[in-house]
Amino acid sequence: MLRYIGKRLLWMIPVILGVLLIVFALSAITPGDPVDQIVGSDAAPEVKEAMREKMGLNDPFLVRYGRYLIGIVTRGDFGTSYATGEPVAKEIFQKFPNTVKLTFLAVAVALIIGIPLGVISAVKQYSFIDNASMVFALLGVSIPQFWFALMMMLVFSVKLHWLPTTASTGGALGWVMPVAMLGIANVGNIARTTRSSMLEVIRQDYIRTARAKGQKENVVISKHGLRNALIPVVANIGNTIGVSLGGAVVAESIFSLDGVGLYMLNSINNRNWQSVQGGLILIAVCFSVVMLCMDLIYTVIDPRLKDEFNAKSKIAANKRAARKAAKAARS
Amino acid sequence: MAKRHTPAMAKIAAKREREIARNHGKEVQSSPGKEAWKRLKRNRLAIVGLVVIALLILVAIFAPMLAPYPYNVMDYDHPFEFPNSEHWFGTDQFGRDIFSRVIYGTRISIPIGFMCVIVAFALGGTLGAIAAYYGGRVDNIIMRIMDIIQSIPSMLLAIAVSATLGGGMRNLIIAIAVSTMPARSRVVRASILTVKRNDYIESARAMGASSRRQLLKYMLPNAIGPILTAITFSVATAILTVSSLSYIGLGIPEPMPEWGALLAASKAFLNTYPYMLIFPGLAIMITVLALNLFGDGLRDALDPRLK
Amino acid sequence: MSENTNNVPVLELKNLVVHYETQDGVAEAVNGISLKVNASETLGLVGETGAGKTTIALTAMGLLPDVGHVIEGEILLDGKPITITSRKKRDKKHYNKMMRAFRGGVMGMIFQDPMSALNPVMYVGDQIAEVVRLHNSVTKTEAKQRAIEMMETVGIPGARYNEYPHQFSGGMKQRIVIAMALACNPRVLLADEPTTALDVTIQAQVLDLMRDLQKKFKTATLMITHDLGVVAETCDSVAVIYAGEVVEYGTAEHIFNNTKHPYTMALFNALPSLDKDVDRLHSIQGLVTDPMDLPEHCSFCERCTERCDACSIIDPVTTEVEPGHLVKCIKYMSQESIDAMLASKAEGKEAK
Repeated sequence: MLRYIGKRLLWMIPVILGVLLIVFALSAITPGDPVDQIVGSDAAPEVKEAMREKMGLNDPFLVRYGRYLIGIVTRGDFGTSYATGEPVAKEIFQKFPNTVKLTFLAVAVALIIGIPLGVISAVKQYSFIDNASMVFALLGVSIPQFWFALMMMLVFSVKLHWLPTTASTGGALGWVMPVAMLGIANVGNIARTTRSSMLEVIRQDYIRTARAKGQKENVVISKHGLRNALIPVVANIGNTIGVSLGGAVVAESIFSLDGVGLYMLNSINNRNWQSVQGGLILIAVCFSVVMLCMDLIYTVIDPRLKDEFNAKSKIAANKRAARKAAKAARS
Repeated sequence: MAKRHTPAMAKIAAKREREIARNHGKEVQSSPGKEAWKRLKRNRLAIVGLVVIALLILVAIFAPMLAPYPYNVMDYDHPFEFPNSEHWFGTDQFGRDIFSRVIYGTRISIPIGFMCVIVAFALGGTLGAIAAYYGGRVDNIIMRIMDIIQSIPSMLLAIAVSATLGGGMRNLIIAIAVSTMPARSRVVRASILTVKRNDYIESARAMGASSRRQLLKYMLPNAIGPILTAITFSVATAILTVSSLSYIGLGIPEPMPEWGALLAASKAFLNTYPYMLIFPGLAIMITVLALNLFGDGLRDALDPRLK
Repeated sequence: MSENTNNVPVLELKNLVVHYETQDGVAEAVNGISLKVNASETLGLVGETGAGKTTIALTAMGLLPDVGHVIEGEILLDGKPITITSRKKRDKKHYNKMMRAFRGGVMGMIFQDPMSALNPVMYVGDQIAEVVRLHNSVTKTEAKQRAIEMMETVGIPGARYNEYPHQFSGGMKQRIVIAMALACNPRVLLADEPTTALDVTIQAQVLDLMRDLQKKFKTATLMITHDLGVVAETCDSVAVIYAGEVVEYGTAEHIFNNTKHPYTMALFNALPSLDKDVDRLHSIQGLVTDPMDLPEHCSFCERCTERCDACSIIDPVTTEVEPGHLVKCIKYMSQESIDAMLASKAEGKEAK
């Protein structure tokens, strides 16, 4: 198990290298000059050139790439924002709490509503409640989130004056609509996933075994069914958390929520490449960590997977040993 | 958003897909297409979805005939008109007929949605097919690259790419296609892996079919079921993504009446003329809903165990 | 439960009829079966897949799927009915509540496929302890104690209590299923193909184990199988089932040494034999009769090698060929009754 975790952590190195490569490639083909932001686009060409030289923008691609990497490894330096002159890592981590809060609230809402809805739907397949909740879930995944947000604003802010239109004002109330906006799609997703996974599980023999023990039906479902049905649901949640931690861009921009997504959007729009590359690397690392956590959660839910991981690393270790032995035999 | 798989999840998915293939391989050996179509026809909601999609495509084709006004002609005498008998959906701040603009919007959203998916599947699908067919090191390298791309949230990647390339339909398609490519490659890879394990591929190989021939003639047609379902859902997602990108100002520029862009332009009038915001959003929702309904039906038809 | 010393059998089926009402039509799975099982006895239910054997067991447990209904007849446990024909929601609810007390307690069931019968994400020990706690007022530790005891009884070290099903082999899993079914000393054990999914060597071990346990607990066992070898080893009496009907019923001796029904003979012919050197095994020609489309005449006649003209007209009545040996075949009916049935059939046709 530890070996598996170690391998996954090591895997982050190529992820960082790859993401960096993508960002460098994007910045290379992008029109516009980053120097414009610092000295102004109408500055004299010599000034711009001097600035470029100073920032090392004239160096060859690989030199810049290497320098940036060395910066990360030796100083934990993810670059400096062109716009503010602040270290990118610091800026991102300042925005992080808002994004984390939004993500977890939205996921919590989705879990609390989505899982029971999916379970009930599956148990009472084709009943009224099944049809109603599946229509609701389908609407949830089909409605454009930003439009849903606008409609909520129309009702709750413009007409009823209950909720503020921005997250930064109004304290806790300001969070209601952003969370609802992300929540509705997630509720739909999770309810649908739970239902189809649960439908599969309640046809399994071990559910019949549990009934044959004389167990109550709702205990059969909750104790024997739910845990077995949970893996695809956890995968779904992991996905949502992973993606949303990189910033729920649209939600943050609609409700002017000062999070990672809005920061990234502004950086991309302003061609603030230092912020973009630093931000994307941190987000990618964060995403990989979330995915690793999800894999670990799977093994808690389903013990078969843990054994499978262990077996796999054992096989790999055996192969390595065999190779070593072969080498030793040759020399 | 695109579905992501961790290695563990991918394994479970592959296992399940293998089971599915085994199960309905037994049942529908004669003609899987016909059987699935029969089941699909029985699913009323899926047929409703299909009909709505067909209608929307027709609307897109005949937009100039259906729209009562041109989408881009401004009429300064009639701005901000509430929906009435002459302007069913009202007019915008420039007096343009919103009904006509929403109708013309089908000409943007629907082709873009499909193009995004076609390009994404052309890129990702090819890579996924190659990975699945050759396996081993090739598979490993391709899929690890996909993993790396996927570790950037697809929305952010789409934004970054479209900001880099600039606005416009073509660049938007490229941006979305690139950002969803890894997920699509996974779908294709998984279905081909499923089929690859079946015996008739072995017999084709034994008869000396060349690699490319094997891939195209034997594997793809049999892998097509899950891919078709994935395509349908992907078009729905792509349409949502396009409208979101347009909404935050990165998609189709004015005066093209892209639905998301219409909403973005009307947002300023939320307090004063909220009717402007209702219809473009409904249009997106109906389109996506129809695609999801059809996708659900297709999935159930291809996987009869769930019924 | 009161101990029955008089002649009331522990489990009795009386003219049981069970249908599955699906969208594609009605499947007549069980068509008027009457059987008895006494304490410490084993009754074998033999027949091909789809003959309705499992349906009988599920009906007894009250675990029929939603589309399955008891049309008429009943199953009695110690003389008390444990089936309902009512489809009213309230009656069903009440019935389910009653059955919950029996399932796992007085009645234990062993399922066909041990690979899938255990919950993959729960310790095997806990799965046994669960049934103990449901039917006895014991504490958690006591239930655990009992579970460990049961594991030892079926030959699994109690130290493996905290292990998951995937860590056990198929035979071991089936032992756990058996331990689970017997944990509450049931009066009736329904064993649905308990050895089909196992290797031959393991099969023998499991059967031995079941026999020992039966001696110990005095359970009445319903052994459902398509394997005549298993029947020979375990059963006191045998019912051969075809298309939801008992075609031949008797003691194991009757069935094995004095086979009467052509279907039973065909089943024996399909067995590999050690003393005869045959090139290939006989198979029974044709497919199992479709329960969605049962004929009015003898349902086996299309596949029967000894059929006569009357076979495709009348449905034979069950005849007692020797004391306790029943056969449902035209061969053993008296000529008069055949003629009478033919005549009434012809009359019925004319009337139409």
